[in-house]
Amino acid sequence: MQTKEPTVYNIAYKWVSYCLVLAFIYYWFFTLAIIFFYRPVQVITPRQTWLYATFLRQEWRLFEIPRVNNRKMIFIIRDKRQPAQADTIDLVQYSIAQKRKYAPFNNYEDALERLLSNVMNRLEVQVLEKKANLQKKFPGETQDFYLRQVSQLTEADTAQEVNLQNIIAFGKHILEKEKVNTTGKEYQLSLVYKIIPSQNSTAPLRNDEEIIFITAYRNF
Amino acid sequence: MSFLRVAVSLWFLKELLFRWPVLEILYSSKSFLNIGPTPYLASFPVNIELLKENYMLVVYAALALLLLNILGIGRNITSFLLFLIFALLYNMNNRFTNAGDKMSVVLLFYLSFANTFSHFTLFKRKPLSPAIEKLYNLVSNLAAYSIIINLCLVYVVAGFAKLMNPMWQNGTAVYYFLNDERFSIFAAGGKHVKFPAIILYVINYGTVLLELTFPFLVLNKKSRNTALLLCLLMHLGIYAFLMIYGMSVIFVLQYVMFYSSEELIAWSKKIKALFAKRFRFAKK
Repeated sequence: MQTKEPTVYNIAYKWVSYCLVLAFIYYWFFTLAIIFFYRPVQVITPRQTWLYATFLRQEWRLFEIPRVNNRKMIFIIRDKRQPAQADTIDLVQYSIAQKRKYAPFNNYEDALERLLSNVMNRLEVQVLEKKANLQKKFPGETQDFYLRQVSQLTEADTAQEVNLQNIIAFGKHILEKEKVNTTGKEYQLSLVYKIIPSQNSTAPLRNDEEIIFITAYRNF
Repeated sequence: MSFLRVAVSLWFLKELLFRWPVLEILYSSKSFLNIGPTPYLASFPVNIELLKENYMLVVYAALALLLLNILGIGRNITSFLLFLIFALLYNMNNRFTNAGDKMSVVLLFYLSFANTFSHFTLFKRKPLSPAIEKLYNLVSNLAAYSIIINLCLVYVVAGFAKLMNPMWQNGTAVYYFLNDERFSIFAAGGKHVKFPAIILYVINYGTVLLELTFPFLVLNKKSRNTALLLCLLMHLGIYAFLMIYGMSVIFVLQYVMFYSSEELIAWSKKIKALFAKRFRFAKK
């Protein structure tokens, strides 16, 4: 009996350890497949992909794509009776300035800035998609035409209005924080690209800005 | 590994406490932002609305588990629960998380299988029966290998992705990152940042080369220290100039995995001795 027990343990250990090593190998093959062939893997093993994406999602392509432009999200607040009296706040610059102010202990400001950037990304994708469709449908029109059409279509898009609503809510939150009086006022929102000049450019620096989306004036 | 458990838990604690004022905006059902959980979480049998209404309970549970994990109480079960609770939190709202946040949750997953309780614990661990102890060691080793493989893979895939990008190919990517107002400390207030092209090219191609060769350099004993030092410099650059703080810390913490416990203990003894020598006057 004394010699039998360790033998049983040994066999059990052997098999369990083989299973563990196999699970380990499978896990890493699956991870590699997820990294390089996400779509096919998702089709073949939807449940495992879903579990992986829920718990073990990572960003693999770190710093892959640099932006060639900076962005502004301009919130214009004007008096309804005297429209010439207007205040402007750039939500992006405001958030970045807050983030800089408290760096490196800026987790709060950083989280807010990331939230704004993320909702802006979603709006941007929506806007660029609509612009591309319009350019296919009506080629050769002026930039002003595309801007007006895209802005109207985006504002009217109820399926994706949550992105715009989130940016507006963000703007209102900042106005509240800065104690800006909004009674009797209306606001307009515009998304602007600030093009970064190319590295080898020797031309004098120009203020290259392009409005890609603008709302109509809305009541608070 | 014990060091990593404590360091990662402290890192999570710091992140959670410094994010405290923004938690309501991130997770509460009363937040002014309308941000839903990830679609993955929606497929689980959890009441998301109830979670959002009681988000502070989740946060307090995470805090309690962090403290238990730092002290080594509950061991692997605590570590696994900690992984689950942070996965849940980040799935409730993942719009503010960065690469470091995501990697840290994966790190918690691996650490929850490892024997990280040989040091820095409140209570000493009772040895298990020999057969189970053997299995535990095997699982622990596989978890340790996973951390190493994961780190190597992150660098290599990032290197490959860069290699495929035209801006990294022509050497201008670093220039654009330095002009990105969201990250660069130099581009404050819309300043145009220009550095000598040669410096930017060296950083650009050097980064790609270092990331691609990281596993080979780090697994070779002769080049290990140099590779880790170069990576440390890269992360210091990201930390100091690109305002990405948490991510750099979580990457660098994992470098301890490339050294044996004996090496780390010898280093800590040397550092202790150095301090003792310098501050001898404090002893009476």
